[in-house]
This record gives sequence, structure tokens and C-alpha cells, in this order.
Amino acid sequence: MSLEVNDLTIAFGDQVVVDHIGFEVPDGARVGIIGQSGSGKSLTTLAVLGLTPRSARVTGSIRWNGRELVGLADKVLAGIRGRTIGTVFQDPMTALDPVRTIGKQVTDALRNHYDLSKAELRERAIRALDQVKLEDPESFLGRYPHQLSGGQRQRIAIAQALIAGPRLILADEPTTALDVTVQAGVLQVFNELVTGLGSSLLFVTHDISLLPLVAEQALVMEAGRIVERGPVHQLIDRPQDPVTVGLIEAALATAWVDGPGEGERAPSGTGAEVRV
Amino acid sequence: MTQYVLRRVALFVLGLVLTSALVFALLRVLPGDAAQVMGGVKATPERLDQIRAAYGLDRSLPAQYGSWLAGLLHGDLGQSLITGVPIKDEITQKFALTLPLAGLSLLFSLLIGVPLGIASAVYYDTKLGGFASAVAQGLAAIPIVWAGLLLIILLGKGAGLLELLPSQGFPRTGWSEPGRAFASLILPALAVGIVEGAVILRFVRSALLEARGQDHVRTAAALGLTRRQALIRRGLPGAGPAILSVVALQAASLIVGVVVVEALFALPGMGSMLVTDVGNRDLIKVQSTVLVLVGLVLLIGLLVDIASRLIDPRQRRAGE
Repeated sequence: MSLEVNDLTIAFGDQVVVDHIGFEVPDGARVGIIGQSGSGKSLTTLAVLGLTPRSARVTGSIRWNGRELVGLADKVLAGIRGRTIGTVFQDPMTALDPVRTIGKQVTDALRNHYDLSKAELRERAIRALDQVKLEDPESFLGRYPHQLSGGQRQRIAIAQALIAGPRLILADEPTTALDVTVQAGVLQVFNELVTGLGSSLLFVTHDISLLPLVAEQALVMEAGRIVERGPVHQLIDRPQDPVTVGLIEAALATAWVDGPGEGERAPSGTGAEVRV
Repeated sequence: MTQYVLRRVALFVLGLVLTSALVFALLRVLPGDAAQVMGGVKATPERLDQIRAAYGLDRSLPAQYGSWLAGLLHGDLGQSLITGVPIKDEITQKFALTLPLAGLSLLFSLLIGVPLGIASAVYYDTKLGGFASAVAQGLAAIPIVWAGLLLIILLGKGAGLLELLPSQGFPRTGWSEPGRAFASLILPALAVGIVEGAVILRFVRSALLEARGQDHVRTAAALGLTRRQALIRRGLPGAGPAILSVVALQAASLIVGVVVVEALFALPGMGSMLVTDVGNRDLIKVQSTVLVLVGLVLLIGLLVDIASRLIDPRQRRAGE
């Protein structure tokens, strides 16, 4: 199952925020979208889900498994969301429901799309929590998000998105809100799960140093346009566009602040390795 | 949770005691004199003193307050200064009208406020949604008396265009004729319900509009709910405690509204009784009645606080 985006444009009134972009995520491929905030990368993923704000006008084509998604009724799109397309959102503090138990919300996608017994749901919940490496998964079932750490919540958000075995996974800055140390563990868990499922991945981030860990191909977005695209190692080793260069420099600057002390500055052009 | 309930009940009792002191003090400041009402305008000062002595009105204020409070502790609300009837009996009898009226008003306000609030949030960006919100704004601003008058003119028997429902009085036979008794409460309850419901509508609407932008509602849609399902099933429960507390606040104004419509629709309930008693300066009766009404509002507050803890895990402590 592949995702083909052609001539996608998203506008709020006269303001065009995604400007005639096109790309493809072939079956089983892992593609990164990188850009600064406001570059239109998050809106692009929301458009795939049909969840752009109602005031946004979406035109062009998004084909999933040959089916056109743009303009499809919300009811039909809801049948796809969570079942064949899973999504992990950015902020684990707010992305989970504050008033429902983990056991309930982690199985939401299953309950929305399949008719499973209570016992089966419970078993699937425990298995999913175990797969994201939460210790004593059973103990999480009755707990609420506010009782958990950021890293635990994000693992739950991942389990929740992947529980129905989606063929395409959209990840919108899934580790950005986490501490660097926590980030590495969560990313590793995420990677293993995606590999296990053999699903395609569209990974959105502003942090180019994460790309080599999660994607083979990547697009660089700026002000609603794709300014550069290609294999990840090529983008990092031989960036062509000034925007890509800027993103690499930004990643290096963060690495320098977060990471090793002075004098251990990473050689330029290899920003990817710094954080790993 | 048990500990919380106990603490909250203690607070409720404290609230009642403070209210009793406040009500007592306020009524002593009120100009006018029960003895004067009983004795008539021509009563001599000696006659007035006699009356005061007979009813204990000549005692010091702390003594009067003390004996009232002592009576309350035994469930004795005292006797009317004017009629001599035990206040408890009369309140119990009036409650047979006022409680169903208040309950029906609350029911109407919820039936109007919650579904229309949801609808106006779901369709907020359409013309219909904007219209609904403007109507709600207008209704929330109109006085209950006026709403009652309009309903009488539109639907009331004997006065209205459609002559559908009784608009004055309550059957003498009371609840022994449930159909007639109930029918006579519909218009007054609707008058209160429309105005209070409009306030609830606006709160439900704004709580849901806020939920629309919440990340977890978007997550729910990304997991396979339609946008509308996500908003209503996931956004509304989060707004539950806020909506509940608004309903509790509205309960106070609802009871005021009930007092008003009883007068307007000539219903012999607590409200009409209170208005008469204040005119007669029947101090003990007024203070006991007001205390019962305030107690009712405090009780609703207590129940809402406990309910909102039950539905919102964030308010509970670990282990609850």
C-alpha cells in the first residue's frame, strides 16, 4: 500500500501554507519530512488524515492504496484513521485523554474498528504496552495520563497508534517534547515496532539529526514548498539548499548546547551522528 | 474519597451555621415590626409590648438567635408569629409544589441547554450556529418575569393565543389530580427553564468550542472516530466538571427564579409564602424558610462537588 501525494495545496483564505507539493511513500518505505515550524509539514500529515482545521481549504490529490482521500467524507476517512493509517502526535502531555484510563484509550483504535471481547481487548492492551517496553504493563491499565511521566505517555501514544497494525504510520515530532535521554529510548522502541510491522512511515521533524535513525528518504520543506529531496545521507553530507544547511547547523547548535562540553565540537557536516 | 466527602460535609454544616447567623442578623436590620402587624396600626405602645413579650421578641438578640438555633438542632423550625402554625408543617406542605417546580425547571434548563449547546458548538461556523448562539445570548439576558408573561400570552389558557396550558393557580386538590397539577407547573417551569437553559447553553457551547482545539480530541479522531464523535464523546466529558459547576451556580438563581414565577403564576408555593411573610414581618418564619432554601442550594453544591470528583480523575488523589 503506498501513499501518493500530488499537487497538494492547503490554504487559509488567501494565505497558502502548503503550496503544490508532491511526494510518494512506497509500500514499506520510510520517508522523513523536515522543516522549521510553520513550514507546512504538520498540516501535510493532518491533510492525509482529513483532520486539517475546518477553515483550511485542501486541494490536489492524496491517494492511499489507490484511493483518493481529498474530499472524502469524514465518516469514510474515520474508517481509515487508526486502522490502516496510524498517527503519533507531538505532545504527550496533551495528546492523551485526561479523563480516561490508559487501558481504555490504548485500545481505542481496536474498539473503533473491530468487534473484540473485553478479555481480548485487555490482552491486546497488555501486549501493546509490553511492546513499547513499559514495565509491568498490566499496572498501567487502570492509571490516568496525569500519573505518568512524559516518556511513559509517549510510549502509550505510540502503542495506541500502532495497536491495530496500520500499514502507514504518520509520526509528527513524536519525540520533540521529551528530554534527550528519554528521546533515544522512545525512538528505539518506535523504530523496532515499525520494523516489526513492516509498515510505511512518514516521519515529520524539525531535528535533522533524527532522520538517519528513522528514514531512508527525506523531503525538506520551507514555507509550504519542498525545497530539496533525496536520500537522507545525501541531504546531510551534501546539502544543496540553504534551508537544509540551516537545519543542519541548527541541529549542531542544539547538540553543542545539550551535549558534550566545549572543545568537543562535532565536525561540520556530520550533524547526524552527534546526537546518536 | 470518604475523607473528602466528610470534609465537604463538614464545610456544608459550617456554611449552614454561617448562613443562619447572617439571615438572622439581616432580618433584624429590616425595618418594620411583627407586633405592629399583629396589633394593627391603632395598637397602643403597651399592647405592642405585650405582643412582643408573648412571642419573645423583647429578649436580647443573642438569646433570640440561641433559642432559634437550639430549635433547629431538634428539627424544630419554630412557629409563625402571625398564624401560630408550626413552620415545618407549612414548609413541608409548600414543598409539595415548590420542589417539583424547581425540579421541572432544572430538567427543562438541562434539556434546553445541553443538547442545544452541543449543537451550537458542532455547527458553530454555520449560519444556524451563529443564530442559535445569538438567540441564547438574548434569552439569557431577559428577566424570568418577562419570559413568563410571554409564555402566558402565547400559550396560556384564558389569556393566550393558543390556550394550551393553565397559566394561573394550582388545583385545590393538589397532587391527588396529578395530570392537572403537573399541567399547571409546565409554563412556570418553562419560563425558568428557558432563561436558565440559555445560560447553560452558552457554557456548554464555549466548553465544547475549547475542546475542539484540544490535542486529545484530535487524537481520538486520528484513532478512528469521526470529527463530531471525537468532539462529543471525548471533548464533552473533559468539560463535564466545568458544566456541572455552572449548573450548581445556576441552582441558586433557579430557586430565585422559582420564587418569582410562583408569584407570577399565582402558585401557592414557598416563593409566594415568603413574599407574604416578609410583608407581615413574620421574622422567624422568614428566617427559617430562607435557611431551608439556602440549605438546598448548599446541598446542591455539595452533591455537584462530589459528582465532579467522581467524573474527573485529575481531582482525585492517589489511591482514591
